[in-house]
Amino acid sequence: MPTPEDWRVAFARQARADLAAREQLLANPAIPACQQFHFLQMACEKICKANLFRQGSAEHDLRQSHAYIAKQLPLIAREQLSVRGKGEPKWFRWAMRRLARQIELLAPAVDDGGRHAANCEYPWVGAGGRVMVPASYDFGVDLQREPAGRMLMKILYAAIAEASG
Amino acid sequence: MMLQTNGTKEATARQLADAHLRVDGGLLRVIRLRAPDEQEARLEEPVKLLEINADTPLNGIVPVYFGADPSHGIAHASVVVEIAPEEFVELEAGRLKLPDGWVIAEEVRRASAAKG
Repeated sequence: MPTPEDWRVAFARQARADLAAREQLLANPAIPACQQFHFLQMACEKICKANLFRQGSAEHDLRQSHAYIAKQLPLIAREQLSVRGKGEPKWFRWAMRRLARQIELLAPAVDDGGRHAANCEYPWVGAGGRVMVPASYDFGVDLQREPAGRMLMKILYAAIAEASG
Repeated sequence: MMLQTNGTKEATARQLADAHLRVDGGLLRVIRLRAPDEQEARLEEPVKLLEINADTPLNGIVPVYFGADPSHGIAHASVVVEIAPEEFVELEAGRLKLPDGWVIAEEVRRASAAKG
């Protein structure tokens, strides 16, 4: 029977594959941003679940929800910054939490209690009753130019590499 | 807000460096990285930035890829390698290695110039 450690490594390796697919999508500017955001959200979710496996969570307990990123990703970042850095700067902490929540909300199953229907996979009904399409929607997530965006991505890559074995 | 760019990789490098220095408190210097000449000359070759950041964890060389964003004025894809100041010393001494034949090139911006 697989152990939590087996699951941890497996989820991290699949997260690495998600990021590799995202890089391929980023190389083609004709592909709508929602596609790379989908892979980013999936990679983040998997490394967050990998982190929970490290803490002993059971696989069946983590099947149902996609809402792990907002809580777990800042914890992963804090650990990286504590163990491999000089601690977590205050400016980074709030920015990281905000970005992690933005990424979590990209999943269709996470809708903030019905208040946030926008997601990177399926059309939804927007303001004024119009049907919105992910492929033509601006999600407002700018990892290049928002505080902590690039460091978040570096930490994500590093955490996945460490957990992948 | 729509940003303007003249479309060269140099312009993209400056534009990104300025944007990064505006938002990240620990960022000290932004230096261009270049691939071997023939590869660097290709339009699809990303702009590569080495960013020295006092706040970043010591993970070594971790290239992070970003897409072009023409609707927001970013004409080229980019790669950011963020390292701590002590890692930059290691890199200059040859104890840390860049991937794919990349070399350290010109400085694009440093914190005091951009923030002053």
